[in-house]
Formats: sequence, structure tokens, C-alpha cells
Amino acid sequence: MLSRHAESLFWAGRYVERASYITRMLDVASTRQLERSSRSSSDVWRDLLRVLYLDEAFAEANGTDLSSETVSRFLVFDRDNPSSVAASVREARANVMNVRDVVPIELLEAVNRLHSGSTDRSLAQLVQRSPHEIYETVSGLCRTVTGAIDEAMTRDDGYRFLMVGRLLERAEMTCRMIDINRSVSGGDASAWMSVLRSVSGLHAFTRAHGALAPANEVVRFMLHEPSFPFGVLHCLSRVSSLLSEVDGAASWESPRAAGRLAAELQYAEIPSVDDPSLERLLERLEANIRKTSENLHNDLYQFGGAPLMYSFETV
Amino acid sequence: MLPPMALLDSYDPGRTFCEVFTNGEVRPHYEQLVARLNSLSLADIDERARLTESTFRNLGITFAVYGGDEGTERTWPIDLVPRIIPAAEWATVEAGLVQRTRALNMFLDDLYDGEGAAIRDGIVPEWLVKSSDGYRRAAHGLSVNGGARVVVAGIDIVRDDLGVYRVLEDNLRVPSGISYVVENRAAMRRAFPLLFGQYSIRPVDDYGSMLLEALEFQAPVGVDDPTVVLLSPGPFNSAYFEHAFLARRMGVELVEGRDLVVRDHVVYMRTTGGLRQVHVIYRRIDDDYLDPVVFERSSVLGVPGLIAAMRAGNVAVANAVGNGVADDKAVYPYVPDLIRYYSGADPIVPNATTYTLWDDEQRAHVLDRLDELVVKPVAEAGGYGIVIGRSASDEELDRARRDIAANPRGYIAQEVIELSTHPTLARDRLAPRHIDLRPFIVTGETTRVVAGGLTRVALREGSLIVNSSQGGGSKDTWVLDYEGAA
Repeated sequence: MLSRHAESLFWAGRYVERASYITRMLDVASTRQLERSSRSSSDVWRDLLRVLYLDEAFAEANGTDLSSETVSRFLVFDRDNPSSVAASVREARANVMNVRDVVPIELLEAVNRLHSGSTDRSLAQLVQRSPHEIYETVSGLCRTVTGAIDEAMTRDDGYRFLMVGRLLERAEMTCRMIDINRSVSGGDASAWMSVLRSVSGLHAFTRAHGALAPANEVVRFMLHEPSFPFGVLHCLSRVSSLLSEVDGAASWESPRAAGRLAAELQYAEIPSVDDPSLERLLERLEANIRKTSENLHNDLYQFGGAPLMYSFETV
Repeated sequence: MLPPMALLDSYDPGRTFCEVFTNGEVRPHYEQLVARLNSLSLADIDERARLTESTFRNLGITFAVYGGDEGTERTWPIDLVPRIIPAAEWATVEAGLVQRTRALNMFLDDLYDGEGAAIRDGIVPEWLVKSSDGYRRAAHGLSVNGGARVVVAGIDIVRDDLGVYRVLEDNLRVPSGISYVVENRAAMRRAFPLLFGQYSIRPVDDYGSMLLEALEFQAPVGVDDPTVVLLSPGPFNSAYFEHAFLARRMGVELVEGRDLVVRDHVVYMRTTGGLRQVHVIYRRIDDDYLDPVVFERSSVLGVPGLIAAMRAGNVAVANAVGNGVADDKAVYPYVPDLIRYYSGADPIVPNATTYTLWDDEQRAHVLDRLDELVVKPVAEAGGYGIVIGRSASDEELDRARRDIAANPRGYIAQEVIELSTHPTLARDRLAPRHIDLRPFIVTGETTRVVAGGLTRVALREGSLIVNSSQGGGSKDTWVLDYEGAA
């Protein structure tokens, strides 16, 4: 397949995942700030913005006005926020449209539905109602996209690049969530339960470890549990095996990098929540996940050099 | 109690040629359609139109309109009242299109890869050919298999007030619209499935294989299983939907210039598995952007070294380079003579009456009657720059007069053709709207015509401008297997 197509599919996967991840986190954070806990409502919103690396951008646009409405608006469709839900959906669609000749019609249709259901206007209406409705709507539409991927896509290289994009985005987000919660909530069990909820993991976790399990167990679960779809180890192992199946990938660096990362994580001792070495482990993971993404870009264009990138203005 | 009025009971076709009614009677081939429409209410049709629009939107069947910010992507506009052409009428049009396309191919091949016989024998003046915007010196000596320089042609035809089909213009470079022909048909099947049981309609959806066959015919000598690609300027182009559609239908890669690289006069595409040789390029970008080494230097859409690779015989490009000289509107008046010259027969489908403005006598005549004629710039497409005398202001006419005086080569003038009309869904009724037709003609080993083509409709009352970039709509076009009512 064309290298450019591979890259577009990769980014389409990343952006769909990002849109759905953001709405999920927004929903969980909004529930959490309604509950009585050690952290104030504005702390909860600040934590969320930090997970997304958007705390500074938010402060620039909104100052210190941290409320359900300002944060929702900013995360969902604010034009000042290049990583908003709306922007992610636009990017996801643009990337799918770039490869519309190679993806199944069902996927095209699902992405267009996601796009027309996520216009600034319809999102603004949802923001006025509640973060939960944003989640219900956008996440639901994202699931029709992932359903179309699962049901209609041939398991070819295109599928693999799309999935690699989704899984790397997930792995990175999960790491960040653990990292932020570690630094702000420490061993507070209820905070960790919220984190699990935002990755659809609460039920799976309680079934496996019981409702009384300590925070350290949650961190291990999110990093190590191979059967947990949002688990970092799960994502990285799949990235490695998907990439190694790609036609011509025998000489690539990215499948090896992902494989090494997965193996390293698998055999790593997971430090407890209050141990500073957990922070270092998470930082290393995040950095290496980003590196894998760069490796992949270089692998795709090792033949004939990276192509000229251009924008509409120069055409 | 009286039954409610049927939709077409009070239809007034006006004075121009109507495709459906003649002297208050329904033409035989429209009888079943009219009966079906009369069994529906406007709300029924509106409902189907809404469903069709939302399907098109979800499938991304859209076109981009340049010059705006957001919302520059518009859903493809289809009017759900189809246009019907009976078999014998179509057979004549089809023969005329084949005849014309063959002559144009012969003219181009004669000019660029032959002895220039048409110029030598005085059929068309040399200065006119060589001063054309579409003329490319670089195309000389570039051979094309079977002389099929125009692999895909879109020839716009209209019907005048007597119902005579006439060619309005030729599009021999990168004509677009065929994807909408196929999608319109699919939409009509969803909207009016029952009608398809009552009519026997010639299919249009084998276009992918028709085009691929013609493109493979262009493969360099000795290549048995050629790799064909479609070269697009990318998603910002107004016809990107069509590029993706055709790539899908043919099962070929949709590439952009940056996906291709030339090494030692061989063209490759960059794939995840390494460089892969490309043999035939169906390009949907203009000559100017094709190869920055030869044409527009600042272009990033094209492929440096492509023309040299063509000259080396390692890759074929369709449509060929330099075709624009033959669809120059100033060359158009000579096409009937070119047909006679190359085929020895009279044109089956005539031109519109046209005046050339560098001829003193004709120019004087035109300037006299400017308020009755249509003036068209020779190099513009998409309906831009056209001045329709009777509806132009005095200022516009003065400007046209000055433009013509300054550059008589740059314009032609034509008698106004009162395009035929067709019942079309308007806000609160079915109303007559002007239509034209763009058939598609594909040349490989032989020349074939897609049954029907893209019927474009001017949605504004009285308007003669059908271009979709200017608010035009479209209709599914049914070519019947038989005459009239079965």
C-alpha cells in the first residue's frame, strides 16, 4: 500500500481514539467533581486538563475560570484548542477522506456520521446540557466507526495501520492518566476507581480483584493486565504484532521498538503509587511510545525519502 | 368530491422545447414516469429527496466549491425527476459523439505525432493552433498507443428550440462528472425502485472496467500486466470524490504527485513495501502542473521528470499532454470541418452557430448584435466569464465590446440556444428548468460511449447556466433499450 495511505490510516485511528477518549474522560471528571471528595471541583478539572497537556492552553484562553461549562466548551469545540473533540473528529475525517479509495464504504459512512454529528453547533447544544450527553453522543458515534472497522475492514495492512494508530493513542493516554492521578491523588482509592471507570475498566477490575483492592493493584492492572483493552501492555503487544505482519516490515524499526517496549514493561517491577520510580517508569513509557510513532513514520518513508508535505495555500 | 390535482396536471412547459410534453401530450417514452409522478404528492417526493441528500452526505458524495472558508464542501445536488432518452434518438447522438471524438483524436495525433496534415491542407489555421492556451510544444513526438490521445472525453450537448441536439463544447483534458452519473443512478434506484421495473434502462455502472481497459491499452510496449494509477491533486480538489470513486471502481491506487518518484526515466510509487513501478497514469491534474521540469516550475502537484519518462517510453499518461488545443473554444468552429476532413462524412451532431471574432466581417456583425448573442471567453471553463447579451447590462456589453476589440482571439460569439426544459422539483411544484447533457466517451482500442451521461439542470428559473459550481443541479439520465412505451 502507498506509504501516504498508511500514514493517513494511522492518524485516522489516532484521532478517532482521541475524540472518544476525551469525551469519556470529560464525563468521568464531571461525575467526580459532583461527588464529595478530597479534591475540589476546580482541582478535578485542572487534573483533566493536565492529562491532556492542555492546562496552559486553557489558562491562556480562559484564565482561571475552571467550571464544568468552560472546561467542556474548551475540550469539546473551542477553536483555540487544536486538540478538541471537534478538531479530532475533523482530523479523523480528513484522514479517512484522504484514503477514501482504500477503506470500506461502511467506514466512510460511519466517519461522515461522526463528523456531521459533531459540528460546532450540535456540540454547543450538548455542552449546554451535560458532559454525559456529549459522551453518549460522540462516543456512540465513535463506536459505530470502530464497529465498521471491525466488521467491514479486510485484515490487510490498511487495517493494521489504523489499529496501530488507535492502540498507540490509547497506550499514551492510559500512561498519562496513571501519571496525573498518581501525582494528585496518591493512594486515594475512590480516585483510582474513577480512573478505571474512564477506561471502561472498573467492572473488569472489580471482578478480578474485588472492590477493596488497593491503588497499587489498579496501577498494575492498567499497566500489566494483558486482557484489558486499555491496558498499556495489551496495546503495546498488539502494536508490535500488527506491525510485524505488515508486508515488507522485516527491515522496520517500529515493530522491534514496540516489541522491546512491551517486553520491558511485561517484566518490569511495577513500583507502588508513592514510589518516585513509578513516575520515572511512566515517563520512560510515554517517551518511548512517542518514539515508536516516529520510528513508524521513518519506516514508511525509508524508500525514496519522505515526500513533500504541502498545504492548500501552496497549491 | 374531486380527487386532488395530480402533480403534472397543470404543468406549463412554456415556449421552449420540452423533453416530456409536446402539444399538451406526454411523449411516449415518458408515459410511465408521468403516471408514477402523478400518483405521488409533492411531500412524497420531498421526503425521498431528503433521504437521498442525507445518504449522499453520509457517503461523502460531495464537491468542493473554491473561494469560501468552512462549508465549502457541498452535497451533490440531484433532482429526482429523471431524464429519459429513447433508443433510436440515443443511437444518433452516440454515433455523432463517436465520430467527433475520433476526429478530435486524429487531429491531435496528426498535430503532435504526425505530419500536421490538417494545418498543411488549410483546414485550421496554424497561427490559431499555436496561439492556443492548450497548445504544448512539449507534446510533440510523444506517441500514444492507437492515437488515443483523448482517452476520456466529455462533450457537452444541448437541444435547441426544435429539439435538435447540438454540441456546445468539447472537454478533452480532464473532464469530470462520470462518478455522479453512477451515483445518481444508485440514488434513483433507492428512491424509485418500482420505476426500474417498468423501464428497461441501459446500465452505467460498468464504467470502471471500461476505463481500466482503455487505460491498460496505453501500457508501454512489452508490459503485459501494467500497473495503472490515478493521479489526483488531492482532497482539496473539487473533483476529489470522483478521483477516489474511479480508483475504487478500477481497483487502482489513487496517488498524489508526492507519492511518485522518477529514477532513470522510470516512474515509481512509494509503497510500504518499497518502490513499485508505474506504467500508466490516469492523471486528473492539468498539463501545467504535471511536471515542474517542463511546465509550471512552482507546482508541487506533479512529478519532476515525468515528461522525460514518457518520452523514454516507460510510462503512459492519459489523457495525453496538449489536448487543450482541440477543446479551445476558438478551435471549436473548425471541428465540423475537421470531422469532414478526417472521416469524409458530415457531422452527425452539429455545432451551435458560432462567430469567430478575428474575422473582420464576422466581428462587425457580432458587435452589431451583441445584445442578442452569447459571448464566451475561449479559455474559461465552468460557465465563468460568459456574457449573455439579452440579460447583460449596458456596462457589461460595453466591457465585452472592449474585451473583444483588445483580444479578438480570446472570445467567440454564438447564437443563443434556448436549451430544452425538463420538469424539475422546485419549491412547491414541478417546474420547467433548462438542461444540458455531458456524455462521456472512452477511447482505447475502440471508442465507446457511456449510455446517457450527466444531465445538468439550471435550478434557477429561466437560467441557462447549468454548472454545479454556479448552483446547477443534476438528473439521472435513462437511455432506454427500446422506443417509447413498451
